[in-house]
Amino acid sequence: MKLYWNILIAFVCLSLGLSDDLFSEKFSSRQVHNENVYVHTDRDLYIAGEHLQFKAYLLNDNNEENLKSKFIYLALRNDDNVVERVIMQLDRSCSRGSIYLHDTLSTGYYELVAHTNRMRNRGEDVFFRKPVLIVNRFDENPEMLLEDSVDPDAPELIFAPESGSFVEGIDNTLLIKTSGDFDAALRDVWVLSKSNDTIERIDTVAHTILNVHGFATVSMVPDSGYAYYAAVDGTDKLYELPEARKSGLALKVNEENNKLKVEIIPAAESPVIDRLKIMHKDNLVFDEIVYEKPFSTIIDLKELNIPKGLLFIEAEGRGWGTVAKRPWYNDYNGNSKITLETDKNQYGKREKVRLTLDGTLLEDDNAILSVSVVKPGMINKQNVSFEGYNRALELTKVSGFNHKEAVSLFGKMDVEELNEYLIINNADQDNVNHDKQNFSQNYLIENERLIISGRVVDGKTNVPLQETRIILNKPDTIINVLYTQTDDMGRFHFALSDYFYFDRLYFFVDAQNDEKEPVIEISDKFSYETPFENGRFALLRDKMDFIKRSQDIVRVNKAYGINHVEELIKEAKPVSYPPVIFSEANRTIYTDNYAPLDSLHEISREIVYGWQLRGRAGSYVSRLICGTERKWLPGSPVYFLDGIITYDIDKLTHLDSKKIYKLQIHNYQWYHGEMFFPGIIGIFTRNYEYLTALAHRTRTSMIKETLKKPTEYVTPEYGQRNGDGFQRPDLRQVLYWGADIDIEKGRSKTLSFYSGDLTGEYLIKIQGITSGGTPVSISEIINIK
Amino acid sequence: MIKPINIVLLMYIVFSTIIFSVNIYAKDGYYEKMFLSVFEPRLSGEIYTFTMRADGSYYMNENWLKGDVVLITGEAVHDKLLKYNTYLDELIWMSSKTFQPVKVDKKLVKEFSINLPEMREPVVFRNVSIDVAFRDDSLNIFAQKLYEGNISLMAQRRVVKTGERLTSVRGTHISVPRLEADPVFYIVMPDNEAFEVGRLNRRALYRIFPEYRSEIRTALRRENIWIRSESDLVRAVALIDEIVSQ
Repeated sequence: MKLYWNILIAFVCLSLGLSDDLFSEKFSSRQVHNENVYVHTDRDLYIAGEHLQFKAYLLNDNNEENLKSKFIYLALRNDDNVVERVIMQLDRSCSRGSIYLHDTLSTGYYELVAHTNRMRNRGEDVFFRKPVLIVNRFDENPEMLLEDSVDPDAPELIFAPESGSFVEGIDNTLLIKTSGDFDAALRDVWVLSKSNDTIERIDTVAHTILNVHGFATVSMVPDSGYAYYAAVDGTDKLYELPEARKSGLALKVNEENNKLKVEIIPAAESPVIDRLKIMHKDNLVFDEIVYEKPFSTIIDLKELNIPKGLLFIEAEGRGWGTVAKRPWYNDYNGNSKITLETDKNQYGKREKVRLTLDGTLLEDDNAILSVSVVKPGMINKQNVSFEGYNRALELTKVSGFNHKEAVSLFGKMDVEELNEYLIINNADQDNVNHDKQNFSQNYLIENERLIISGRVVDGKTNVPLQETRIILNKPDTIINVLYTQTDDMGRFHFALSDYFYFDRLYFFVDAQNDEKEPVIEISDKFSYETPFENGRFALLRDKMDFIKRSQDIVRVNKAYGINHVEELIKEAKPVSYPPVIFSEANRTIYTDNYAPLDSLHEISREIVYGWQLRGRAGSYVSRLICGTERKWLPGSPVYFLDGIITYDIDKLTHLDSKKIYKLQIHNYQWYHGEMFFPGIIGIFTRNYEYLTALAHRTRTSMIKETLKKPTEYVTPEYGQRNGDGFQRPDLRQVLYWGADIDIEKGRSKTLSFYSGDLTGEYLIKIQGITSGGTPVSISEIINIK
Repeated sequence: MIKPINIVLLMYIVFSTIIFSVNIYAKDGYYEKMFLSVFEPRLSGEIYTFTMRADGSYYMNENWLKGDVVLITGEAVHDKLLKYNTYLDELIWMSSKTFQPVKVDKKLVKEFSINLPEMREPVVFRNVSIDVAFRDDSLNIFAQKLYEGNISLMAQRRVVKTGERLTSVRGTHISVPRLEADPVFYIVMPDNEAFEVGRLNRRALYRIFPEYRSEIRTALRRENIWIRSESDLVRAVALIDEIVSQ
């Protein structure tokens, strides 16, 4: 019997302990969600005084709109602080806008950080980060940027054989990768051999050029009796290659036209390989018997329907298991794409350029794109592309790569570079820094409304104040109130409708709870714990002249007052209903309908029946007659000055008919939720008197963290001789920026703009995403002569 | 002597209890409460002090029952304790925190529903402003939609005073009204013009739709509908809707 009770109790407690929490999935941030952000900027190099234009994309696996964030936060920061903060509203998971780069910004690397509120639950590592280089137009010495990028110390070199082993006597593919601050982009690397004989003799056996990311592959056949070294242009150091083994094999993989060529080249003393497999997410997707050595096969990715994503190509030996393994990213995703055509390759000055984007081959319903046409020198090849970013996200999901590292590494590579680089993570998954699933639930999803959060503490002791009412007002010509209560950790949240956007907001601790000296701390969504990291601009050493010319151009534009960025004028959407506390005041009085009166006391006495305002011992007391029961309401009425709540009538008594244009008297015992009002008096002034009359509210916390409105890039039109801007210089380095390009399946779209006065090459860079989640990336060069 | 099995079970109990207490915020609806406080709008209104005695009830529901209110903003509040005062045509709400009845500001209410225990579905009332035929002003009432199509059938669950009696309470004579339910049915046209269904009979319908009189008569006879009850009226209006929509 005792045992029976023991088991029963244990079962009950175990069930309780293991049962899922009852929290609604609608709001749970604990459920795994793959929400990420990508930002396409018009370029990567700016002169202070210009606009940084952007389009932000929200990437979310979930197709349900109500489970996606609707607001995005962008911060531009440097080592010292956040210099610009922007909140944008997302429309169809995208947002476009611009950030003005103030003239006073100093030269240096900055970081554009983008995230949603919900992403904060996964930690700052998942935030989108993009380094941008900003040069002050008055800076006469931009060369100082180069000082940081040149490190006198030689780089570290890592060698990784393609199949995991470096084997004598056979053709090996070897990845050579640099690390450290050394600017290794496009530097030569020589592989030298040195005989182990007594005679010193060094031969060059292989040569390659490092890509912009600082790595490359080289093919060589190591022989016994030799040692091999690598030499990098710009350093004197020699790096010893790993010692070649006698047994093993080379597993070589190449791709062309969506066909994989796989070769297995065994050394003389290698295990017998009898099988070639390809695995995708632990599923076998290809299997072939290896019957000859060396072995070569062509795998048609399209025909065999090999899934997109990370594959592991494995050579298996009889009785050995996997002998060699090669990760490979299959980027083949059908033929879905968008093509770009220009009407010409070469244009004259101020000539119309036409770009045609064709979605005939799109498999998804549509694609949303952003297009920039800029001087190539303004693009940093080391920055993360949209396709690269998407690949990096897939790799973090599939193989558990650390998000930040995956994005900063893989995001910058095209698929060929990625597949080269993957050699380094060959087979040894222990080296992969797997993401720790570190979710918090502190940050709410803003899938409908913007959320402002904060905390209330005792000003003296810093102890959080529980069950404290916080009121939110906005200055307006109507009385508006939002309120909430702090939890047991002193926290509060407000969900704001668009009524509150684009305005100052005032937070107050309800005076009725006013025993302590409460302090309201509004959570700063733009504070970051992750330290700022300096970026790197590829081949910056070659761009100094270009930068200096760009400074001159911006100075000329400023002198002429030329600015191409304007606020986007869209059809105004109806704003949400304000959070009123009554539909209609019992009485509304316009002071212009009466003779002018010199104080609020006179106004109460002469024109507002039932409102008694009396001076008593140096201050005023007031009361109202109830509109229903014709007796005095208990307590003093609550006042709103220009929509801002106050209980302190003394601060308002100086207001006269000249300042006040309207009074609303709502003389009822009134409830708004749990808030009780023994009458309400709204006073509305002609000139925002609340700014001075209520400036004393030390418990006030005001934020001006408003949403930014979208902007567009307006280019000059030269169709007519006397058209706008024809007489002014047109030194645009950004010929075109279009952030709202929508291409439907089977249709094409033509974009047109005029070239300017600057000749030379311009890079057309198109990025975007299809409705099916496939990233799009197209580049082309045009010439202006 | 403590047996090993008891020690194991004891450890289970302790361990499970720890897990349970760690999740207490989730399990007692903490986050749900937090989100409701963030996202749920507030009801507003004047303190309600209506306490007149009557024979009969002023209310559709004497007891406080749970219901939902949809505001004109489109936002909804859920599971509030509500009473519908059919005599005053006002919605009364009692806050579970203050226990103070409040007459909800009518102009802020778009619709409310109350879960009557005897009904499977909640009873839904909409705040409507209808242009009653032959009246200059429009009528602003809480009306229950009984049928909705191109034309609608709405019921104003009115309670009227049909008489009174005198009684004495602690030596004071007071008048106690006699209240009876007196619903008014309106047929509302697509243009929002409303016609009162004076009596529950076929002739009332013919008067409202004179141009369809013969078709309506034929249809009612075919379906064997005699307008004697509210449900008959609903069926009849549905039929008429089909006829006029053709």
